[in-house]
Amino acid sequence: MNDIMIREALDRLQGEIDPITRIRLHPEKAVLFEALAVFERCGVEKPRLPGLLAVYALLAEALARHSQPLELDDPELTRRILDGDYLYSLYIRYALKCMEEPLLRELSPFVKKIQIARALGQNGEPSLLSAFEQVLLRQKEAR
Amino acid sequence: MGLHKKLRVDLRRINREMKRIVKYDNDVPPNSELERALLQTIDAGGKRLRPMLVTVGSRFGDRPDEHRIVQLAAAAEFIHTASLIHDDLIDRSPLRRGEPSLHTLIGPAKAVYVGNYMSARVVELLSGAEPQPGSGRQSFTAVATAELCLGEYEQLEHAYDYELSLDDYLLKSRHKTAHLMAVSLEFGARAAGAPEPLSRRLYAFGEHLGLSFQIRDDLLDFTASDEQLGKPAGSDLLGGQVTLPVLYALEDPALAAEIRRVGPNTKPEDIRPLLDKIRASGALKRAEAFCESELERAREIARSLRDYAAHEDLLTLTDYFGERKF
Repeated sequence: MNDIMIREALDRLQGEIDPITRIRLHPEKAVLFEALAVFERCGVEKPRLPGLLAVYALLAEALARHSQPLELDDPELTRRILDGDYLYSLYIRYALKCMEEPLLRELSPFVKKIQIARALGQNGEPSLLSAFEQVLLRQKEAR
Repeated sequence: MGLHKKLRVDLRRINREMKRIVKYDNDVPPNSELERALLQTIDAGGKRLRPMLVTVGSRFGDRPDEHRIVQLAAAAEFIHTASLIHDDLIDRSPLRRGEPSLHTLIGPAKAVYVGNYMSARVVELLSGAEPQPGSGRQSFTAVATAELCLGEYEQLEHAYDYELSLDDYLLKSRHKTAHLMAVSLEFGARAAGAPEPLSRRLYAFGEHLGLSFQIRDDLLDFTASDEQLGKPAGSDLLGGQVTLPVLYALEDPALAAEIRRVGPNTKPEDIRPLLDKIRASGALKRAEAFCESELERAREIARSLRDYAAHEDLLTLTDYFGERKF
């Protein structure tokens, strides 16, 4: 069941990506299974799960493209910068499309803190999945 | 007189707001390398065109919240600045406006994250505060950034592509330059409560204005001095950017043969005679005429909005863009 949901979410996402970018998403299945398990534990309703999973996958991919090392002599540097920027903008757009505006708002400080940690060269940046979990649990409590 | 004075825009207030956004962020350690890099980038200045466009757009609404407009204006400049930081890395450009670019000063990885911080901070500030027009939900950051990226992808795709069509050139220029100017006007108007059709009209004005801006930039690669440009004249041609003057010059078979020889390994001194020949051809005049026709289309929209006092500001913008020398 979860396998089908993951495939559906990724197919839907690939359709959102402009072909000129030539971006292909290949997130690790195990990471997405883990994310789904966390979302379910946080009481996320079934119809919301595919969209939420896609939003998570987009942000995780955007952050991964900009992870260290980033060196001037890396022939992939240009693509990594561009792909990361594009996927980040798509994450915002897709979150709004899925009516996940409260999630976007509550995640924004976490995303920013990840960038701050990276800019300061700090080890152990905040975990993205933990950030999702905190926000989703808060939303559950508020219901 | 500077454009901001003609438009009655307090740039010092916008600069202060940009710094405030950084300094009042409790997550950025005071005096850290990150804070210094951000403040230095803000202090390096720029024309601040996009904040001016947000402000002018807001004058078409009937309930402008001054603080919110200044915040949105600062956010527009944050998005623009973040894209310039990343552009410099993509182009491996060691200079920005004649000064060392940020990645030259702090290294490529940290420069990427400074740009990312600026984008993330804007989302944090604006999420929840942005007005949602009738049907679709939009985010200033997402709307602006996605198109900027597409423009970059198109530029990469067509580097040294001397078969580039005029339509592809215009599409790339809309994505890379015109769109952010257009959404600055549009979101400024929307934030001040302007009706949706009017906001869309201002978008159309901004798109023509932005396209003229890009064509003017293309022309400056041939007409401005190295000092004015902050980089050697002819850099666009050397870097494989097929700009509007180059597209027109390619229609001359003799010039086309020379242009097609320009590739990634061509040296700056090799293209000097070619630059002179393009200057002496009619290509620059034709590009100038195209630039003027875009400005005229922008003026038509401005005149159609004469019921609004702020339409005068739109005309001031077209005058400025028409006379821009660098």
